Amino acid sequence: MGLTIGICKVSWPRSTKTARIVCILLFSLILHGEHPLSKESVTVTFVDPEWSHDLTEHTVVADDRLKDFTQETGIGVKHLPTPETTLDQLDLVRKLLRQGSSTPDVSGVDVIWPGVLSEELMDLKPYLATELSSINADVAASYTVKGRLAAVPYHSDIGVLFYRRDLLRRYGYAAPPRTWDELEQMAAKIQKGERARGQKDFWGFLWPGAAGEGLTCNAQEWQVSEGGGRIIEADGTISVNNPDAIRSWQRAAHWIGWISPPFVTSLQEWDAINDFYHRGTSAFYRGWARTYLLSVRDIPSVRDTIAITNIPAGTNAQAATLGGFGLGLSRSSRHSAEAQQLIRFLIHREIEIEEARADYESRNWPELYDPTAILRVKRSSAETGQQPVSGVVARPSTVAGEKYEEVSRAYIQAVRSVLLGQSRAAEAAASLERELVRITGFKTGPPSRNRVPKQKSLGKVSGTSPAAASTSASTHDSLR
Amino acid sequence: MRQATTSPVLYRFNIGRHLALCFALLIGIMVACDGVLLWQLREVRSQVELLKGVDGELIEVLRVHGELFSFYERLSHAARSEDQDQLIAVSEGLRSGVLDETQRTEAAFRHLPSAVRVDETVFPTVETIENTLLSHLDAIGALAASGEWADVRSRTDDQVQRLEYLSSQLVKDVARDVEEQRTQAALNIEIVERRIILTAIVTGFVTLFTAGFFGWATALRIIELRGEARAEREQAEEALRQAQADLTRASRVSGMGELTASLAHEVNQPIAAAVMNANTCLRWLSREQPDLEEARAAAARIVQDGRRAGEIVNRVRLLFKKGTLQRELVDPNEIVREMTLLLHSEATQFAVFVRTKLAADIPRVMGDRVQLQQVLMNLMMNSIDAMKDVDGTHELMIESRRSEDGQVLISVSDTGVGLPPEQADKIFNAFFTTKTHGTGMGLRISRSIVESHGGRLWAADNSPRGARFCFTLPANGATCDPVVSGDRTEAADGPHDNNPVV
Repeated sequence: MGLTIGICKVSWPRSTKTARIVCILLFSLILHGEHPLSKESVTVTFVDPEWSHDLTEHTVVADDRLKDFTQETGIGVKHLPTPETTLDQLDLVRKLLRQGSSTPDVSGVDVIWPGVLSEELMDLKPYLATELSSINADVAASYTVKGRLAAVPYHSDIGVLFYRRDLLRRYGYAAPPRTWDELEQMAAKIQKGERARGQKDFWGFLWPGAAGEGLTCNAQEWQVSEGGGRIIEADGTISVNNPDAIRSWQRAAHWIGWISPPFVTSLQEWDAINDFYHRGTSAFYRGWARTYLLSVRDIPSVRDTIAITNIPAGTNAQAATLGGFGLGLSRSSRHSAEAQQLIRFLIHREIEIEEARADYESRNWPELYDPTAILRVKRSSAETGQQPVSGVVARPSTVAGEKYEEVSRAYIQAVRSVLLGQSRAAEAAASLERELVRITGFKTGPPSRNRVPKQKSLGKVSGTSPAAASTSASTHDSLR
Repeated sequence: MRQATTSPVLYRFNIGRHLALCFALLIGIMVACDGVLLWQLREVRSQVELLKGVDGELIEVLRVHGELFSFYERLSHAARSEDQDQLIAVSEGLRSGVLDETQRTEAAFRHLPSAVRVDETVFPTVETIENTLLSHLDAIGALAASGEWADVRSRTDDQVQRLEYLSSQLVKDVARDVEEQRTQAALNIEIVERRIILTAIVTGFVTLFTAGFFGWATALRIIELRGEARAEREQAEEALRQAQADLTRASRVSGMGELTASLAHEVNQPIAAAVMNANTCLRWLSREQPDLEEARAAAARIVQDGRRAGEIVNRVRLLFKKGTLQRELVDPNEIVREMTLLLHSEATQFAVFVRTKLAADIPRVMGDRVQLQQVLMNLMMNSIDAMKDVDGTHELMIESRRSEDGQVLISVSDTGVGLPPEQADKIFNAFFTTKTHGTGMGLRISRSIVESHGGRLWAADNSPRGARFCFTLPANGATCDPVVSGDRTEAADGPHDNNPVV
C-alpha cells in the first residue's frame, strides 16, 4: 500500500493527503489496542486488629465506615487478616514493614508498639494537626516516639470487669464489686451457689492467664492497685521487685483453683471471653471495654445478662490498663496520600460517633456505658489539665520503647511462673528485676506510689469530665 | 523516442527525487512492520510468562488452602479424641509442616515473575494464616495440657475454621484475580494476533505490490531500452554504411582522377597500334600489286587494337559506374591479370617490376568482381606507393594459391618501406594513415569488402623487406555471406590508400 502511495504521490501529487490518511489509518489499525487497560483505582491495604480478630465473632463495625470511605473518595480499602494476639500482630506487621513490603499501607498499631515500629512508620504529626487537637493528649503521647507521632490514636480501650448481671441479682448483690476483696467474696459465693445448682464446672472469676500481652495487662492492674508500681516507672526506674507487687501476684496465684479455674493459665483472651460469653460457666471476667461495646451492639442477649464495670481497686488504687490501637502509616506505602486520607476519614468518623454516643446514647442506653469515654476528653479544661487521666494505667511501653516487647515477655514469664507455682513470687520478682536491668539498662528503685492516687470513690474515675462521671453513675443505677 | 507515447508513470519512472522518496517510504514501512512484529513477539512472550506466573500464584494459594484443610482435619480429629498425647504429637507434626509451608510459600511468591500483578494482600494473608496457625497450635497445646477440651474444640472449630474461611476467601480472590489476568492476557494475545495478521497483510501487500509494480515497470523499461538501443544501433550502422559507401566512391573517383594519365597512356597504346596497323594496311593496299592478304591481316590487327582500346575504356567506365552489387562466380586469377594490366603503366612509371605467380587450380569464388578488383587495386597501389621512394629493386609480387583449408589465398608482396613497427594492427583502422595524402580509408574498406565475402585480410612483413598483404576468399562462394547489402561500390580503389610509409 505504501508503494501505491509513493507512486500516486509521484504521479498525482494531489493524492498525497489521501496517502497520508491511508498510512495513518493503517498504522493506527496495527497499533490499535495498545492501551486496553482502564485506569485502576487505588486500593489501600489496612491491618485492622479488630477486623479479623473480632473476639465476639460478629460483624465488624469498621466495615461500614470503609464502605462510606470508598464511596466518598473512590479509594478502595482492603483488609489484611491479622493474627489473634497482639504479640503475633506485632510479629506480622513488623515483618511486613521491615521487608519494605508495599502492604499494609495503614496498620493498626497497638498502643504498646509505637516504640518498636516507629522506624517503619511515618510521622503523622504534620498531617493530622487539626485532628490531634480533639484527641486526648495523654493517649496521643503514648503513640509518640522521640517527638514523632508514629500512629494516631484510633480506638482507645481500657480494661474492665465483665460481670453476670443475672447472677449478681440472684445472689443478692445490688452492685458489682469495687475491690478485689469484694470480687473474691462475690465470686466464691456465686461459684459455690452455682455448683450447688448443678453447674459442676462453674468458676467465679475468669481472666486470660496464658502467655500473652493480656496477662501483662492483668498483672499490672493487680500490682498497681496494690501500690506495686508500673513495672518500670515513667522515669525509667525498674520498680517491679517490691512487696506490694509480690503480694498482688500471690493473691492472683491464690485465685487459681479457688475462684479461677486451673486452666486459666492456658486461656488466651479469645478463649476466656468465649468461655464467658458462650458457656456461661463463670460470674466475672476481666476483659476490654471495646469488646463489650462491640458485642452489646451485635448480641442482644449480652445486654440482658452481662455488664461491665471498673476493674476492682486494691489497697492502693483502682487501675485499668490503657489499651487500644492507633493507625500508623507505613514508610514504604505506595499510596501514602490515599492512606492519609483513610486515616483522616477514620479519625473524623470516630470523633463524630463518639461525641454523638457520649451525648445521647449513653443516657438512653445505660448498658452502653463506655469507660473509654474518659480517654477522649481533651485535656483542655483548667481543672483536669494538669494531671493525667486517673485510674488508667499505661504499660511501660513508652519508657521501654523498642525494648518493650522483651520487657513484656520477661514480665509474662515471671508472672506465669508464680501463677503456675513454678517459683515463689519473691524469687520471680527478683529474677525479673535482674532480667529487666539486663534488657533495658535502667536502674532499680521503689515504685512511685503517688503517681496513682488512691481512689476514695471506687467505681468512679476521678478527674474525668462530668459526662464520664455520669455514665459511670448510670451504670450503677442500672443495677438496681 | 517512444517514451512520449507511454504512460506518465513510466515516463517518470526514471530514478528521481520522487522515486527515491517512494523507496524511502517503502523501506520505512517495512522496517516499521518488522518492528511491530518483533514487539508483538515480545508481547506474546511476556503474556505467556504472565500466564505461567498467574497459574503459579493460583496453584500456590490452592496448595495452602489444601494444606490448611488437611491441617484442620487432623487437628480437629485430634481435638475430638481428647487424647493429650495424640494432640501433642499431631500438633508437633503440624508445626513443622506449617513452618515448611511458610518457607515454600515465601519461595514460591518470591519467584513469581515480575509481570504478574499479584494482589498485594495475597502474600501477607497467606503469611498471616500460616503464622496464626502456629499461635493456634500454641494455644491449643496449652489448653489441651490443662485438659480444657471444650476450649480446645471451640478454638479448633471457630478460630482454625475461620482461617480456613479466610483462605477459601483468598482462593476466591486469587482465582478472580487470576481469571481477570487470564482474560486480560487472552485479550492481549488476541490484540497481538490481530496486529500480527494486519502486519503480515500489510507487509505482504507492500511486498507484492512493490514486486509487481517494479517488476512490471522494470520489464517495460527494459523492453523500451532494448528497442531504443537497437534503433540507435541500426541508425549508427546505417550512417556508417552510408559514410563508408560515400567514402569508397569518393576515394575511387579521386583515385580514378590520378589514374587518368596512365589510362590515357594505356588507351593510347592500342590506338597507336591501330593507327600503325591502319598505315600498314594502307601501304599494303597502295602497292601496284595490292597484297590483300597482308592488308586483311593488318585490318584484323586494327580491329583487335580497337577492341582492346574499347575494353580498356569499358573497364574504366565500369569502375565509375554506380550500380548494385552483383554476385557471380569470378576467377580470381583473371582479376589479378586484369588489374595487372590496368596498373601496368602506373607500375612502369615508378620502375616497378610486376610479377604474378598464379596457381592454375584455383577455384572460382562467388563475389562481386568490381569490389574484388577494387581490393586488389587498392593493395597494389599501396605497394607501388610504398616502393616509390625506396632505392633498390622495386618488385611487386602477386600470388594466388589454395590455402590449407581449401580457400583461395591471394597475396600482394612488395619490397617497399614495410609496415610501421608496433602498429601492424592499426593500419586497418579507419582514418589511420602514414601517408601524407592518404584518407586512411583504403585498407579499412578493403577489409570490410573481404570480410563481407566471408574472407580475411591481414598484413605481414615480407622478407627481406617490404610488406605482404594477404586475403582469403571462400572457394566457390560456399561460405560467402550476404552481409553487405547496400554497397554500391564497384570501382577500384584509388591511389590514396593507407600504406605504411616510414
